Amino acid sequence: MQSDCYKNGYFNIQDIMASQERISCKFEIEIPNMGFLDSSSHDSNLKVGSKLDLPYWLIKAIYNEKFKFVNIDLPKWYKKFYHDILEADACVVDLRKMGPYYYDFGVLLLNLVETDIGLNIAKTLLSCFRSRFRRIMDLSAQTDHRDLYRAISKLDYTETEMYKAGQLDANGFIRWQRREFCKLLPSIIVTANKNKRKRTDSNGD
Amino acid sequence: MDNEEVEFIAENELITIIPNFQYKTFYLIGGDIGPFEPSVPTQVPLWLAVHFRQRQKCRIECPSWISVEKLEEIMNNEKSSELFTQMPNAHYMEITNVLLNCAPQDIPRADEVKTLIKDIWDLRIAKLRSSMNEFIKSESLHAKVNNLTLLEINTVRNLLTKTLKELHNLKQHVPVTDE
Repeated sequence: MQSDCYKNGYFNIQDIMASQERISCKFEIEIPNMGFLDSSSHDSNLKVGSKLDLPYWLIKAIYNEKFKFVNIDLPKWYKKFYHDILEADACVVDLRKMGPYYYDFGVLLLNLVETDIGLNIAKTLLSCFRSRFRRIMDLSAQTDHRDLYRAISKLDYTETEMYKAGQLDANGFIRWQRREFCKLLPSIIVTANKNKRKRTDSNGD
Repeated sequence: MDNEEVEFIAENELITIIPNFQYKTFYLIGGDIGPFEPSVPTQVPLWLAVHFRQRQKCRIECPSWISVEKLEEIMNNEKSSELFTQMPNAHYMEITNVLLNCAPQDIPRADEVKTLIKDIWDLRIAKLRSSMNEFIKSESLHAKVNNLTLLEINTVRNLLTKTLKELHNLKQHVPVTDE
């Protein structure tokens, strides 16, 4: 079960960041001495019905089928309404806005929700990924990313990584075609020093 | 794998040169090369041909497929076929690129050859990209692609492997439908 959470390895920063995403929860039982978590109450106990945004890793550690201490409210980006939007045209949606780790967090959520809801989310993620691939591929084939800033800022983290991989390919090919690898370039230290020397020379003149 | 490495592999292809010097046979690990007699055509690896050409020691005889007529035919085949057609050489792009760089004088109508090779390349890459898109969109688990050259594969290597990895991660959570 644990291996689900660590698809890229235990220390993968992308996975860690994705598991930091918060989920809104409503408490079903009273928890003694944890009142400080809810800044709006002055009670020492955490009351039934208080609403808190808890990070995924915290809920995952305590919550299970037998011990449903909270009622999880699915983040709105993963609800039916947004599924419909993604189904209509996934390419225009701003996934970055829907959480920078849309796919990774979505996959993590599957561990918490009921099977049929989870299946819906998984299906939506998959079809969304599939339909957006062409766009990412086309974007990454263009080499000057300054023009593409707006388009790239709509990609979620996973997609940005794919975009970077595509850029690596495209730039590598262009570099090869221009035969840039044949040219010997001066080291950065040399060029940086050269500029300095020039300035002192012109001062001397 | 870098494109430079692909080119390094391509430089092992044999090519005919017409030397203007005399020398006995070289014995290299990869095989014997030579002997060289003035104006007697000899087969040498591309890297050696480039080396000699840069020192004006030989003239490179263009491979028969580097000609405008042949390349036009290849391009028309490529255009009319839905699949990838077989290229005259598995390293067509690398070899022409190297030759055009070091010895454009030895290639008849070098400019047109350059344009044609680029056109063929673009056609094939466009095909490759659209078939990648088809593959990602479809439910299929594997795809078989023939006649792709190493350099062509190399231009999508990072993107495709990364994408397939992410796709696999997402697919794991959707049960396979029996169709």
